[in-house]
Amino acid sequence: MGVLAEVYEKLNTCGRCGFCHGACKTYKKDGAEYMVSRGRVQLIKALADGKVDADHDYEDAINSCLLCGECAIACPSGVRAHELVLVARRDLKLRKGIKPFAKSLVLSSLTKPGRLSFGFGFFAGFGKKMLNGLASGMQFYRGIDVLTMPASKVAFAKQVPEVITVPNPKRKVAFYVGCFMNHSLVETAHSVVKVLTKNDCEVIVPREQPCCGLPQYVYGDFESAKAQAKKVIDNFGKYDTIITACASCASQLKKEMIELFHDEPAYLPKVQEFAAKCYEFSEFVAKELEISDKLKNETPVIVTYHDPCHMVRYNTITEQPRKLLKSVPRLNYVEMFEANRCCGAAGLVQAFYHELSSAITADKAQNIINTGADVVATSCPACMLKINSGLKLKGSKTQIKHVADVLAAALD
Amino acid sequence: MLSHSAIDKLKSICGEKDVITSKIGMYAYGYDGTMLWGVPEGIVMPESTQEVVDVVNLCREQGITIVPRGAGTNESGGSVPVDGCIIMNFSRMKKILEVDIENYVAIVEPGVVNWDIQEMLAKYGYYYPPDPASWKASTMGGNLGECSGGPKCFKYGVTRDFIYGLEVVLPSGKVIWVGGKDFSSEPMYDMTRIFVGSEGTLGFITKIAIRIQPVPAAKKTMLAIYNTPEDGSQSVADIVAAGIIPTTLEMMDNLIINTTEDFVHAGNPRDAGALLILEVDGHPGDMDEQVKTIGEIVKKANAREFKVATSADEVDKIWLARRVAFGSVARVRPNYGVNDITVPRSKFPQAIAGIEKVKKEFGVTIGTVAHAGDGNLHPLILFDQRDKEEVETVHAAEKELCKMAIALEGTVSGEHGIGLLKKPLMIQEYGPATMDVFKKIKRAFDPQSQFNPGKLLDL
Repeated sequence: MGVLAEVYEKLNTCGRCGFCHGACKTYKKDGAEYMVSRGRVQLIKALADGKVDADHDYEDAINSCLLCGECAIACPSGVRAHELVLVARRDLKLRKGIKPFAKSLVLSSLTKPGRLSFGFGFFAGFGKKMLNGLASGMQFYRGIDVLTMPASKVAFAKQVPEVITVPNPKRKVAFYVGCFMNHSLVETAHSVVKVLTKNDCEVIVPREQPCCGLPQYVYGDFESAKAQAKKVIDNFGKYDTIITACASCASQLKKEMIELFHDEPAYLPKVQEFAAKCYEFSEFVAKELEISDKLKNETPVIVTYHDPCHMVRYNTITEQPRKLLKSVPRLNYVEMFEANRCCGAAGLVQAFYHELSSAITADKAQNIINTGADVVATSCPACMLKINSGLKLKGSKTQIKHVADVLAAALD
Repeated sequence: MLSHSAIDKLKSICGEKDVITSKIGMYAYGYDGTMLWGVPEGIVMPESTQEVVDVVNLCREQGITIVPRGAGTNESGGSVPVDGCIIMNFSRMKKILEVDIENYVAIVEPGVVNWDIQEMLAKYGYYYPPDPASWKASTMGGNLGECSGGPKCFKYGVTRDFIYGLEVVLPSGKVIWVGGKDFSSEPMYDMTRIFVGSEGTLGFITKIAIRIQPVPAAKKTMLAIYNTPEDGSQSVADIVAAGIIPTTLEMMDNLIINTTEDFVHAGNPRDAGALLILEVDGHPGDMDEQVKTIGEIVKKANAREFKVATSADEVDKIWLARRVAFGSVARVRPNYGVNDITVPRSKFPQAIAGIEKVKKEFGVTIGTVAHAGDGNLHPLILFDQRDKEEVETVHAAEKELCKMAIALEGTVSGEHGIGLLKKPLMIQEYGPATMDVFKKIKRAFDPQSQFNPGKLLDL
């Protein structure tokens, strides 16, 4: 039974009522029973009982889960299917390693800063030129707008001084940039620094920015995830306040890392102490800074907000970004339908199950378009990229921005 | 096993992606909301009436039986596979075909989820009243097959009261339309109602014309708390006797009050014997009068507390415990059996007493939630499915509850259907002469017993 034995009791609590069908986006799009939490949980239990094999179909059922956590809210029996899927992925990793090779390459590259810099650097230079030369039909690869996807030749953490000083520092914070923001959404990283420094925070941007380990964690490679966690703590543990503007990284630093080390009681207190010092960007700004008096804006703009799964369900940071957005003058905030539901990006699901993922993104894009908003703000680089692509595929001019970008623009 | 040629033919009808023969597919389509299990030979997911017809014809020629399925949330085994069958899963047939607000009609495909209709209708200020607890998951085809009810059904009626007409694929492969688009257009036999609740044993529904109606202009939500369940059930009878028809009359007993308190801390007193959630809706001018009358009635029935919600938050607070009732008991023991016995409203207090008796006799833990207005009770029996002996006791207790309901001139199934679980009890409820008529109806539609064989009745 392997690691599945750890959760066998929990697998048994699924009463098979099927209420998760209403919450599960992959089921809504696909319609097959093994594409919904009840089916996935029953299959994991069946594998533990030796009634099905860990074949390719099983892997697809387990790996196509968005891990959005919406089913856990709908479940009357309190089953947290996404957590059981995580264990099933770890079980798969132990049975047969990370497959296919492409996924394994992506995950391992994230743990090797050199390879990551080279990859994005190559893409920013030669790769884009190559794509530009191709027909415009190539703009969208697997539902992702690769042509206009930002990529930086030089990582953000190497563009700025290690310590960004301000005249009268009231606080000192370390900025955990996160791989995606460090190499791709560099402009957003600059926005984060701007918001913090304009509010009298001295910002430290350590040169070493190890991957938080979430991508490895969610595909069951706990060893790599733990190694990454330790690297992060080694590099950032000495600071009192650590801020990240990536919802997924924030969730990993604040919560999942603790989960990861529950079997290492000697190291666990260190992780808990570290996690308590980590903040998601809007969580920190809303709680600790008096920003609203400084915000200026002359041009009326309609803005809506998309809740990343890691903000709304893995953590409960929902009011803070809205409060910050609403504090911008002449910003007309409108709520979208199903703002808190997954956009379909879901880590590598968008790459390996792109039709499913893009169908989910199309709904999100439509909900955004229906608000008539000029800007959709959010707090997660992965959501930004995927939603941007979804909007463009629908021919929408609505711009996607990070909450930090919206605030930074109002601080000029 | 399905032959390769049969699989190829199914794929040529429905398309490669709409035919499933994988090992995990066979496993995942083996169950429904019960503990029953079967193994199908394959799963087809048609996307049009024509595909349904072609599959039905192919299966008839090859002697393959077909079990229809929506979301598989049913509580009676209706969509569990039988030996040698294929599953026809309607979840990809989910278009809302027409909304005719002027005539209060919508036409939908069977795979549309009840909730999706509600969301779509909300834009027009309309809704579809039947609201089973599974409404965010269950399909209209499934609701129709089981004749689902729900909290609002006391005032408005169950699924059968909201079906105008149906497109049906018969076991012969012929497509017929029964009923019409409005009340007056069904001369001849009431065929529509024969299909509602038939669990796919007579024909497969491919289009459903449903009655929709405007959302009432006003609604009031109330909570009454009692020392004993007897007092609570007396209120139910008194309110109805006073000529008031609440939209909702939900009751929870002491055990459920406590399990929900453990879970969500809704603020209900743990020593209460029962609570009633009451809702009335209609014209704004009528609300105060109805609330006043209900307040007087519940006080006369010894309610220790009576609250009227004055804000949306307070409405939510009143509903909080009820919404998590089922799940809260699942936190006490790993499994619970859901029953849906229904008795005449006037005999509701006797049914509550009957449940107490079963509890003592069989030594089982039962928490009761009830759509009290309908006399529809959900005694939830708590157990652990891995304890074989306990499972036997639970089954025996369930049988006793059903016998009690029949003795009170009620029914063993108010809204969850018959399927496999309640099939053996039908003879007690109806007697041999009526059962014989049912069998003749089944044979008339499905002489080869190709559609959902062995469900509802044995030929």
